[in-house]
Amino acid sequence: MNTRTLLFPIVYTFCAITLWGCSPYEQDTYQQEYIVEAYLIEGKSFPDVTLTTSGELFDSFTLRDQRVDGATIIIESGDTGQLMTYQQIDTSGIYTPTDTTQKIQATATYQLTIDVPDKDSPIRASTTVPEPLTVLGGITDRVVYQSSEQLEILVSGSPTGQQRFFIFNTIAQDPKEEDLTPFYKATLEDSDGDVVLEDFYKVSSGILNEANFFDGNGNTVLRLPWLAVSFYGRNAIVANVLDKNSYDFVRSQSVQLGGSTLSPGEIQNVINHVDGAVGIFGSISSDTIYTTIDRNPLLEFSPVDP
Amino acid sequence: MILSIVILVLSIGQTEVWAQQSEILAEAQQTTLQGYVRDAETGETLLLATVSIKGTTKGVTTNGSGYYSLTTDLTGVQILQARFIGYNTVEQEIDLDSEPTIRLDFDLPPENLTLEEIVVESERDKEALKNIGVAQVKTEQIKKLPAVFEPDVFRSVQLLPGVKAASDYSSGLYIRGGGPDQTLILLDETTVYNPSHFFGFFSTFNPDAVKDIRLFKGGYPAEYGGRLGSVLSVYNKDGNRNQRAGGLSIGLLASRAYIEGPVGDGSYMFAVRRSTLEPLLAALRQSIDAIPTTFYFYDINGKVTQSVSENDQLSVAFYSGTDVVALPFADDADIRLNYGNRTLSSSWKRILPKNWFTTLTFTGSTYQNKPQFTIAGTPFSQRNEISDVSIKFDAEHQPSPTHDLKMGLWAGNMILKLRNRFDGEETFRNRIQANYASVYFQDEWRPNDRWVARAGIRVNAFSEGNYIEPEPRVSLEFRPNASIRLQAAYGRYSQFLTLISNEAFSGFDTWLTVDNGVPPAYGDQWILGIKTEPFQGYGFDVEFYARTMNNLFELDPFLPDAAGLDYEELFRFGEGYAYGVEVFLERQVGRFTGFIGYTYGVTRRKFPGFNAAIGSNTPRFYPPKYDRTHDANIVATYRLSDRWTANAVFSYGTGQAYTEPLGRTQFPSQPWSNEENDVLLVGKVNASRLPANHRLDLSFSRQGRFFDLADSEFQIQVINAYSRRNVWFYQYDFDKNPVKQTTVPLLPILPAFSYTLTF
Repeated sequence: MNTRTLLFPIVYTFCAITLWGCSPYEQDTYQQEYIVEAYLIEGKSFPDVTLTTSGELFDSFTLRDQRVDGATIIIESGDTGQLMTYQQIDTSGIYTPTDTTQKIQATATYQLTIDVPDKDSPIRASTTVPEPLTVLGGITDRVVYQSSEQLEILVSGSPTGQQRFFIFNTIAQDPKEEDLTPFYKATLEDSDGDVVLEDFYKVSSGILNEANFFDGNGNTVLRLPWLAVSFYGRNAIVANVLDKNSYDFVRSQSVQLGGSTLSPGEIQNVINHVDGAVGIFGSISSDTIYTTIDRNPLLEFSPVDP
Repeated sequence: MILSIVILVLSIGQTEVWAQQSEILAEAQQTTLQGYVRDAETGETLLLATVSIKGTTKGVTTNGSGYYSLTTDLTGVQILQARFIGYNTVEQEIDLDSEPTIRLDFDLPPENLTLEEIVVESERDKEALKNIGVAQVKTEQIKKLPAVFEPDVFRSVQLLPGVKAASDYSSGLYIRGGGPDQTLILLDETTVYNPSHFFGFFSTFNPDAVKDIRLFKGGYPAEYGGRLGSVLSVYNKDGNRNQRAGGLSIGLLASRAYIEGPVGDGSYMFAVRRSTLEPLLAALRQSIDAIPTTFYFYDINGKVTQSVSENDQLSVAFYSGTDVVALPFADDADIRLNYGNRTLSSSWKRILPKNWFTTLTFTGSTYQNKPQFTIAGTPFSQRNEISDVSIKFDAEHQPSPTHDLKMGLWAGNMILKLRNRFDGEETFRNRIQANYASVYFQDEWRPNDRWVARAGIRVNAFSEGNYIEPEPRVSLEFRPNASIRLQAAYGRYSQFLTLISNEAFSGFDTWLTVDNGVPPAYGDQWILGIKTEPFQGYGFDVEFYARTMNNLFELDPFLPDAAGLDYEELFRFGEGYAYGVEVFLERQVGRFTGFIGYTYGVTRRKFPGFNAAIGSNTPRFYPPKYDRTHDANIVATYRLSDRWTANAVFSYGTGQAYTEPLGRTQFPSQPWSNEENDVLLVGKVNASRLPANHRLDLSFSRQGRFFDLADSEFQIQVINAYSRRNVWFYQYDFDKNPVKQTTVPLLPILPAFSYTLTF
């Protein structure tokens, strides 16, 4: 046997493997999707429902242009017997409830049904509202920014014992540029106009597991990270408990923007719990306190020492 | 698997018979020749050198210690030859009737080639290199090839077929469709967990300290284990046994120095490398924000070897490497990063009577990674530590001229810690202390000159979760003539560790292990190969490979916070496969040398819920980012004169896989946010390809003298000579309407130089 005798089987096998390897894995073509967004808040009125369609990535995009008109929307709960109908009041794709007196009940499961003209099957989703969240104590009227005394709030525990997922948000009550905390001020100044002051009116902490806040005595003591404070002065501090739909949506949306262990450019769709559409029909329980964040006279920021 | 078990059982069953045969054969004048093969100038042992009896087909290669053992039933006066690429052949006349065991060490003088000289080496000179799935990288080649800032071991390995790089910025090894954690990295038999500097830009191995690098791309033998894919074994120099020598190299990014020499009845080697970026960073800080206030890396290698007796050799080797970065990236925001490895190994190599060679090794390896962020007074930190202490015993035995046995065990204790803190509070803590053990047995059977069969089994055990993984391995080789080898191999492999990493940045690399509820990953490999020498001085090899990967466990990328979760809840479990073909054409002799390597490869992964179509929850296989259908490298060296050498490396690869967004939408009503919350709609994950990636690197080096004090080498190089703007990834700016796509490029054209003194 010589080398030339072997050439044919080598070439043959190479071609066979190469052709076998040509199994198609081609990119999908763009399909327009219905987009749904609504968040039930425990103890509050039924929320607006936004119904739009997706747009192609490189087309000009506004939600108003993507609105879906003429849909029939209801939210109902077999647990509470509530049935809410919706009406379209403008051309923004936002549908509003016809009755603002009914309140969202904790632990109840709500179903969303949307009938869209020219769509064969309805859009459906459901959510179970988390147990109510109540601030039990620890409210401090004034806190010095980045002092050793962080704002701590004692909140009601989970009756089921299951771990809950929180998002804090801080809402500035009288935001002025001169009251920006140093990190946000630098971010605004370095942004080349891509970031505006309004982006910091409401700052979110991202998802934090409840286990971060167990104090060892069976209590849940939420401690406000300073990162969640963008303005000195009067702030509303909101603690939100997320349902599973909101948890899945937020965590997968943040991965789309990077910061995960996925490689750059490896993008996944958001985790979706809406049948017949993409989006979020979620629910939260929340409670709000107010406090004033004072400047820290001892705080001067300089580059990190070597 | 059944075949391999049958072969193994037959092999084990024959051990007793061999013992009896050995005695009978011994009576029939069987003679064993054994010893070390060394470099005559430095005394360094030579790995994979060939020792044979002239005029016969009887020959063996030296092992990872430079030791050979050749048993023969020939009699009378014979000539024993020792050969190694780049060295003159040494012959020694020997009377095989004089003693049953003859100790004979060889000292091979390095060749001093003239320009017109062409040395012809037979395929036998590369005996072990032609084993299935094996490749070797010479240290001298690493130093000569053009390299970004610094000569680098891993970047040279990346040029071999079957080995891919994630990007210009990554020295990570992606071998035959596997990720970096699927390759076992050994430095003098000790596991190195994060072999990178400078966020992954360089490997930790200083080429001044490295003697040899052996890569098992796949189908690796039973003496290795612990990874699904491949093994890269790096051997440090022992040091010059004959005279003191050293070197100094000044480069753009880092400088290196080493010294070696004789001590007692042995040698020492000490090499250090440190980044030298501080002056450049200080200058940049005057005009540019967000320049690190602290940024350095260093590594230190050392080894002391002593021959206690003619048959006993002791050695102690250590390595320490660290990267430190402090970067204030905004007012009231900074990153601090500190990671590094330390290894210590001590080995006792012993030649025993009756054709035994044993190695007892104690190893210790630690890895720590401590990233810390502080943003607006809110600190985040993670601490990942591995402490791995082990003892290894390996034995080689030739019971008869046709059998080579290898066996051994490896037992150790590993402590793995992972601790997260957020805003001053500990949010996750996991400590796993596990005992692990492996035992292997392997027989290489050469019934005649045409056939070589190797069968082995390795059994791995891990105490956490009580996992025991048997791994049969078998390979077969047929040599129809002196220039052709047909090879086939199968093996089962398992892995108890997983690496949390990012292809773009290795500074946060975190290792995690199996435990209850987190079973080990495992997979099978099949390889077919043909190794030929179509013309004198040329090699032409083709290997086909196929692999499966089951129970791949990796950190769930959608987990925002690990606090309060059970260990198994941190992971997602998936599967994968890879297949491909590698073609390798090389010329290793004459003034023009080099190789062309081509790989056609496919690799896929699948994880629950990932890459499902919209409206579906059924996952689909997808290519990871490093899937590269076509990948080719051309490496060429031309010796222009006695002083000047030109080197060129051209690389081409199919564009990397990425996910092309198809649509977009917004979710502006989130109660906790007042942003528009842009969301992308994507189709299949990684179904699109970046433009093809290609680059030409050139280097010219001139040998000379430095005031008659030392040899010198001046090297000029141009990376990306035609300034191809290869694409790293795309970014999408949602602040623009419509969305604007921008390209993040890879390296531009980069000139560089270095000056090296060797005394």
